[in-house]
Amino acid sequence: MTQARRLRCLANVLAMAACLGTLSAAQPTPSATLSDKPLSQRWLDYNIDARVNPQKHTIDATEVLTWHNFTGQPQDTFPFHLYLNAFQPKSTFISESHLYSPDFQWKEKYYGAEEVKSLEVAGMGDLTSQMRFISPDDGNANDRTVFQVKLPKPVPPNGVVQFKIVFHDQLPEVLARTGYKRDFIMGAQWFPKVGVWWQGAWNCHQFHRTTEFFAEFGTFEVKLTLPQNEVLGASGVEVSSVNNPDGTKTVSFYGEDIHDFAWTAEPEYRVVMDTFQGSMGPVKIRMLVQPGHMDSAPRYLHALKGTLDRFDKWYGPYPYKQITLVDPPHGGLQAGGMEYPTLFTADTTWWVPKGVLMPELVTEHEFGHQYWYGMVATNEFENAWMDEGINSYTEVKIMDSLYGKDTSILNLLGAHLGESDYQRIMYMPSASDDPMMRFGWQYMNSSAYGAITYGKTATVLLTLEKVVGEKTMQRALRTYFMRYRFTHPMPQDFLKTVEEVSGKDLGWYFQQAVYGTQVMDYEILGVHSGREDWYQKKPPKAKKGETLYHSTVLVHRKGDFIFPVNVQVKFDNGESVTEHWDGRDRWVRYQYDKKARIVSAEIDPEHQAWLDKDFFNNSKTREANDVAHHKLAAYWTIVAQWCAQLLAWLV
Amino acid sequence: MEKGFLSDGCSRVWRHQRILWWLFVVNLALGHLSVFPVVGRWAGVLDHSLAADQLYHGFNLGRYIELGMQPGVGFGSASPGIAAFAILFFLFVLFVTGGILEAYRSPYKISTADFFQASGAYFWRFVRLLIMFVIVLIPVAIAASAIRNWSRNLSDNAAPEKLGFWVDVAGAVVIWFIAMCLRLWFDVAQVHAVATGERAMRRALKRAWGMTFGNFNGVFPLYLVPSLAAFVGMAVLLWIWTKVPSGDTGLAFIVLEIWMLVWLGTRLWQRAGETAWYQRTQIPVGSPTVAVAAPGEAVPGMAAGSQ
Repeated sequence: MTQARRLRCLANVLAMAACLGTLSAAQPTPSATLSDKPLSQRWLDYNIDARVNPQKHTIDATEVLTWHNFTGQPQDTFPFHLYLNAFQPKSTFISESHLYSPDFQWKEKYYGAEEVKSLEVAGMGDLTSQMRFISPDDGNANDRTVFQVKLPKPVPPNGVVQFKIVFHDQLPEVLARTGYKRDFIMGAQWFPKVGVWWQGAWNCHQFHRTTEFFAEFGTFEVKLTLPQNEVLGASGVEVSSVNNPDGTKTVSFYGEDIHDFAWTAEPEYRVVMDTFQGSMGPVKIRMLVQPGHMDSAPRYLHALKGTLDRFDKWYGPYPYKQITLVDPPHGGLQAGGMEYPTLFTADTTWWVPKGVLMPELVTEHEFGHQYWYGMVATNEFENAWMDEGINSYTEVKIMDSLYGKDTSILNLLGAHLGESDYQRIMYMPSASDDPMMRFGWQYMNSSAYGAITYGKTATVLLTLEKVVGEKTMQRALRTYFMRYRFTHPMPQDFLKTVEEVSGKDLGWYFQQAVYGTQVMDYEILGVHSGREDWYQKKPPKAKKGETLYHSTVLVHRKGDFIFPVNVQVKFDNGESVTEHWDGRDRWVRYQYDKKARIVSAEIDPEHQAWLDKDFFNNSKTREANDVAHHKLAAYWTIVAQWCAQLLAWLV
Repeated sequence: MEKGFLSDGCSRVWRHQRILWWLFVVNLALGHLSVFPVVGRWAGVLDHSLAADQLYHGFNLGRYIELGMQPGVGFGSASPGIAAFAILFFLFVLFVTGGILEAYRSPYKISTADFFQASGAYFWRFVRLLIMFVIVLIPVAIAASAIRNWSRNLSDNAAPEKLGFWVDVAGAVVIWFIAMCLRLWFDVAQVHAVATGERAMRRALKRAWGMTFGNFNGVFPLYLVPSLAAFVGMAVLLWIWTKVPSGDTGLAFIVLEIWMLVWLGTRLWQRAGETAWYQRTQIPVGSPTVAVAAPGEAVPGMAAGSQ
């Protein structure tokens, strides 16, 4: 190497160093988590530059997706989701909406589209013409929610491929989760998203009415350009905001170790800030609340901080620097109650009384998804119970802890409802319709999907507490979270973790509750106390504590779900006997000879067998007590009288 | 002046309080009978179950919904009974309205025989009035439905979130006002028919239109004040009901029955007040009063202009 060349090299190095220095000074490495190292295997890096037109409800964007081949084998075919194409009249999503709700009417304002203008692959050229729409789930040729592109040459193991996709979105008026309502925009499922290589194959389902999402972890650098009056919120953290001469501003966000990116914009948002001190560090709480919903802001905040606290203590730390709560406007509640990484939408109206804990419930539930979906990123298409159901279970535990066991849903005018009852009632009408192990779009109907994935799963896990103990369940969930966060576990991973932590073989339970459709229903078929000397023609007068009685309790397994239960028998001398029955036979009879008569017999006196479909037949008293039915009769009489008086007004 | 009619009406209700008590008893009996079949089925589920306590002490909504999910016990099964007995009560009131108005216009207590004679005498006339009232209410119902749809649309789409609600409230007030005016008009027609023995109900309505809307400021409070009293009474009694311990069904029932009594009483107060107003302002001094006539009989001494 000559002196001149050395000098030129040195100059180049210095120039590069200066350049790098300038770059690093201008763009310090952003961080969106409280960890100093990556939390997930980052398969992909999304870099999206999007311009939003709030008047036309359109987005024009360029997406650069860098995908790392961690599959261990060459890959030349890549499927992508185009979720917004679901909002078209012949899509699978809309067809299923009509199937489940025949009254559903299509309106033009629901139209949404996600059009790929061009798709280039670095080093391979423009492959737009290679794009093919596929319908792996139902063969619907009119469904354009998944496309596939085949590369001219495969990406080798540990190799990298970079896609440059130019796309145009037309947002629908919000029908489900995403879109606009007046000047509110919820930008969800808005960019071409690559499928997940999972269990040795690509997993990229069409968008269905009852299913949600599944995506791979990575980093997101997203620039959104909108009018300057818009208040924005998004996944990750805000990195910069620059006002442009044309009256717009470009806001940059950065997210890492997340698998989706959602954002929202509305000029009217009121911003409420707070901080939660978690075990990994401070978490910034940012709430974007409608002006008319500010009464709900303290309720949101209380629920969110309480939920963060319980999750942190019970299940594991929240590792992100920020959580954003979005409060949709009235008329836009179809965008409410939805989860995205580090951002979720809540749900309220201006008239919700304090005794109706809807804002709290939705806040808890959607934040819970940061764990059961956000970090433990299960396949929501195929195993919806693993996110919605486990989340509903933790919802019960946390809402009960924050608002009281019997009042965690409703506490109004003397009427009350707890979370456990709420989940159980949700499941009961569809108890035997479908097993939990079913792909989301294959349930009998949307009601069965909701009942089983939410209500039944929560009830199954609540009932499991009776077998393994509440504290053990908490430890099992913590172990499951810590072990599988930032991965895509299978159902067996969860079930095995519970078995491992509890030290019990729970196959008998899971076979019935998780894989099966068996229904649990135990009943006290009869209680009887008769005198031992019943055969005498003139027996002596009965004396309490002296007369001997032969008592029987007949317990019946009415349903096909076998579950061990306790039976508590109470006698009128204050004595109480607790029997344990394995429940395998169809019935069992308990017999007692005592100088006391039975007062009552009750199955599951601890009230932990939440799966039992009928609580009323779980107990039987020897003597009737008519106060409850008189109470109902009294109130219904009033209703009938009032109806009659209203009708008589016509005279 | 209105106060005079109102207090006069009040004293007539008090003087003929047997009517109120009988209406109340019939209302209560029919109400009880309407839920009787389903109560038996509830008893089968609840009477021997410890879980029933969650409905007695406090009110666990979950248990209540679960009860409704029981085969054959669903709350929908109570609806046909309630509807049937509501219609029975409606027919009963339709039948006795003639007797009630006859009693209120009488300066002395009328006999049971006279009461039922008047009831029978005016039954078919009031059936005809009822049909006309329903016809008149149809456009009001359409307007109410349109306002409701409009308010729903506003609730969904208008920028101010409460706009739909306030349109709903304003619409309800307007519809309520119109309905009250129409009811008042038909009430006056009934009073006029009983006072004059009018047989032609369209003519009675025409006369009542002039009387009602020609003296609207004087007569409308006779309907409005008892209506407001009914709603205030309901609010107070429901508030008291919220303070009753959940296990004290008897006391809660009594409080709510007082509400039923107040509603019946205020409706009779309207009738009596309207009758007092009619007698003191619409019948010329010295006009003979009409005697109760059995159906088909000639009615002597009809007021001028009623033929």
